[in-house]
Amino acid sequence: MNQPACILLVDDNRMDVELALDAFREAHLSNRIEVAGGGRQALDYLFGAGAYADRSAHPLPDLILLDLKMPGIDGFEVLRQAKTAQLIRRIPVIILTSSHEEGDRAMSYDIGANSYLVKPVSFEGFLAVIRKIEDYWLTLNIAPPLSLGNTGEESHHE
Amino acid sequence: MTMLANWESPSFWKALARGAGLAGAAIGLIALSGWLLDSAILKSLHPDWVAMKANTALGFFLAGAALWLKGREAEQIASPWLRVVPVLSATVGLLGLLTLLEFILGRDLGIDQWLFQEAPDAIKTLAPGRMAPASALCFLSLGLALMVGGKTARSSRATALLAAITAFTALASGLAYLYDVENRYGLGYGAQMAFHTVLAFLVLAAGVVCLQPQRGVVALLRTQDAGGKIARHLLPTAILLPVLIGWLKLSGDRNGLFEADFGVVLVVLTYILALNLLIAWSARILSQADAERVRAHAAIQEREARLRLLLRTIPDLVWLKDTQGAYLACNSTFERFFGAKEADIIGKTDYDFVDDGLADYFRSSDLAAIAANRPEVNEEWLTFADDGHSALVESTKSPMFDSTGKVLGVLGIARDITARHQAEEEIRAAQAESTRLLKEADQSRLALLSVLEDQRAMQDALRLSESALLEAQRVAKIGNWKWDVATGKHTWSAEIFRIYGRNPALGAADLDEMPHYFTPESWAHLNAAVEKGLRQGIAYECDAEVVRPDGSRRWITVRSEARYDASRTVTALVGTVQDITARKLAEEEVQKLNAELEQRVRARTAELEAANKELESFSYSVSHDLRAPLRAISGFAQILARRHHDSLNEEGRHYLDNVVTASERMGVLIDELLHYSRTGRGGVRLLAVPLAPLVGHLAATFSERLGAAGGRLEIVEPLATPLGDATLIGQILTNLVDNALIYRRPDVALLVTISAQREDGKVAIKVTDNGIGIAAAYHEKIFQVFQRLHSEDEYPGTGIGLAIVYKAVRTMEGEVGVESTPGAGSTFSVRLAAASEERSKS
Repeated sequence: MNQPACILLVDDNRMDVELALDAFREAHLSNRIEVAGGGRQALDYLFGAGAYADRSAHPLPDLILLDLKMPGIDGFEVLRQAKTAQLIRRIPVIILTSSHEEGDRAMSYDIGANSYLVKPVSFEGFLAVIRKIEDYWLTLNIAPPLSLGNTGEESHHE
Repeated sequence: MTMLANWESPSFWKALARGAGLAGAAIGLIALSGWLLDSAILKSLHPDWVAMKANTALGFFLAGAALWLKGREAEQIASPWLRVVPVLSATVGLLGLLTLLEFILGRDLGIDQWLFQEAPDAIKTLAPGRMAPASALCFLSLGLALMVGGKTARSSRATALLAAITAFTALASGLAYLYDVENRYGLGYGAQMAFHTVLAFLVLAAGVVCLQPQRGVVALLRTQDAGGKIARHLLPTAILLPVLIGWLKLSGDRNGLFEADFGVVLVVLTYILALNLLIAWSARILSQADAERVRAHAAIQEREARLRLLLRTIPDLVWLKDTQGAYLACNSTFERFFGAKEADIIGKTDYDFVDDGLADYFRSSDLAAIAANRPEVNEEWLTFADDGHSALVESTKSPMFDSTGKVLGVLGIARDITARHQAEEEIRAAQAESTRLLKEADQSRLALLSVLEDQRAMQDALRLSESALLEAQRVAKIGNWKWDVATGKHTWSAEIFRIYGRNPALGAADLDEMPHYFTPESWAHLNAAVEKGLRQGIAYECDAEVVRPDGSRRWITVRSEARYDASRTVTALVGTVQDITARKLAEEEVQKLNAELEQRVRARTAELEAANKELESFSYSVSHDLRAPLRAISGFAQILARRHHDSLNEEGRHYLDNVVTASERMGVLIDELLHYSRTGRGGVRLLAVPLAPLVGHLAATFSERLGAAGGRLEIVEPLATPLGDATLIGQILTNLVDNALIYRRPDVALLVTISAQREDGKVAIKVTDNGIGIAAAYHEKIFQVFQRLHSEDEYPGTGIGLAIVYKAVRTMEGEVGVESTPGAGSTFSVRLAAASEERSKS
């Protein structure tokens, strides 16, 4: 953990992004937070396409916070592509959405989401969520290796 | 032959007798009339001759009348005058007798001239008016002859004798006239018979003989045999020849032609010649007669032989018996009966051949035939002696008579009728049988008649029900039909003709015509059904569309059943045809309507589904998308309050608090709405839900708020177990308790009671409070979304809680209701299906 973890926040709602970033700041987290304002940008970032071609400038994230409801390429599509790509599939994806819907939950886990959280309405709630994510996913949880030298590929299962 | 027949006929002779009577009477009348007229010619024929005396003439008249009457009597001619015949005869005899007495006594009895006076010098008369003595003798014998008659053989002979005396006496007088001898020898004692008196006596004497043609000389003359012939030939000669020869001799003598001796020679020679001629003539006649007789005999023998042959050949038994029962003759068949030859039978009686019983029987039947005087027929069983066989014979016994009517015996003829009898027996049996059969037939006919009668009655009833049936068929548009498999004959009732639009005069359509009455599809369909019915003998029912000859179409239902014979072979199909066009049309209409309706329902359902989906996605989107700005408002307001609290004045902080409060409330609303829209979506599985854990969790959840409100929750145990969804039931209870908390009365300590009991196979979960209550008018409204009865300021709430309860209950196929008294409290009851196994709260 020489380098602070990188978090990719995918959300088309600018205010939600701002609240999230505010919450991260409030929590005093030093993590690098990359924001993708839609499905398209999220995929570009993950696959190093377009503006995100430079991997050194835009390194693969250690955690993805993914909104579902987005215009164009929605969260499910991003999740689907992420979970079917080498290396990228290893990155834990936490669904952060307003939806309580059972269907959304089922679909998310089916495609490979690692966690499912509902956005709290209050700022305090939001802040608590961010702190717990930090505690669990970035501190407690052992991150997967994100280099191709490792041959854990073959042992993965659908 | 006629002459012969007349000769032979007694009537001829009787006629002669009557003729002689008439002639005698006529002579008498002529003489009397001569006396009356005093005519010499009439009295004596010649003035020199002796006149017939009046008495003599009267005697002749009387004798002639008597003879005539007797001749009529002999011919059975009835006459009242017959009674005077004996008087006439006696008068004639008496006349002769009295006149003779006058001669013998020499006295005049006064009878000679009581009629007429005669001159005293009358020639050759002894006394005036007195007849000659020969005449008196003739009258006496003639009267006697007439009196005696000839009824018997003896009287006949006496008559013949008396007639002969008369004739000879008269002839003697006649010959005296002929030979003119009286004058010389005074024959007649001085008195002479008149010439016509002689003739009259001869005629009357002959007439008297002729009265009895069956007897004496007349009978002899009448016969056809040789004797008769000889008599007829010789009699005239025997009388005339001597008279002639005597006259010739006397004439020769008197005229001196020859000497007396030579006269004798001549007489002898003449006699020899005449007699020889007579003999030769008679011999020839006799020879001829004999030859005739021999021929006749031969013919008779031949005839007899034929008769014998006939008798022999006749299969019948033929026999003749005399009156004493002795056999006279029999044929060969009869010989077989007695087992003896005819020669041995003749002269013997039945008693010599059969047992006495049978002989008695034969004898009695013979006597019966004789007594009856006609043939007697009887049947009897005879046993033939020759071979022992028995036969039934029909015997006819006829009495035989001779020509005089005397019974000679009995002719018997017996015919074997065994075969005929048997045939008759058979015929009788056959007749009896046919009578019996006829009787039976008659009875059968009667039975048949009564059956026919019944049948007629039944037919009447049948006709009645038939017409009712036809009427019913017409009204119901049902016809019945029959198809005979063997003949292929189709029978239709009247209604079928109407249904098919076929002229009844054409009769039922045959199989070839049938397809034209249907659409091709219907015919194929129907044909398949008929085939199946025929092959498998199963009843079928099938609808078909009929195309009438006029092109109009009808729908029919054909129903059919098979008829079987004893071997379970289908013999006929019977069934009905029903016109179901109206129904079919109605059905089609219904189907069309149904299809339309279904289409509309589908469309509506699709619309509803779409709307539902839209609504869902709408409510989802709304609640989701509403939440983002709300979060922004809430989040940033909070950040503002935290970080910039000091830079705001009191008024700014108050407004910021309002923003936070409103946005929090907005968040709750959105959550509730989402909750509502999620409730029951995707369906639920109904399982037994033990209520105790839920209620326990509920108590824990609400304990803080209840405590704060000074209220309490009471559970009425035991709790029945409903069928439902645990989450939904938990939601319902949570919302109801929450409701009770919200709408409590501030002045009363809140008491919420939860119970669950079985009611009518259901579980009723009841949540009762002692809150403000709900007016009855709102009991329905409160279960609708966002229906609030009070302001947010009075009673906080989203207005969704009871809507969620309602929706959850409906999702579990239950019912929800409320009973409430405003100002006293409410009881919400949720009725769910009961679980089969109930577990009380542990």
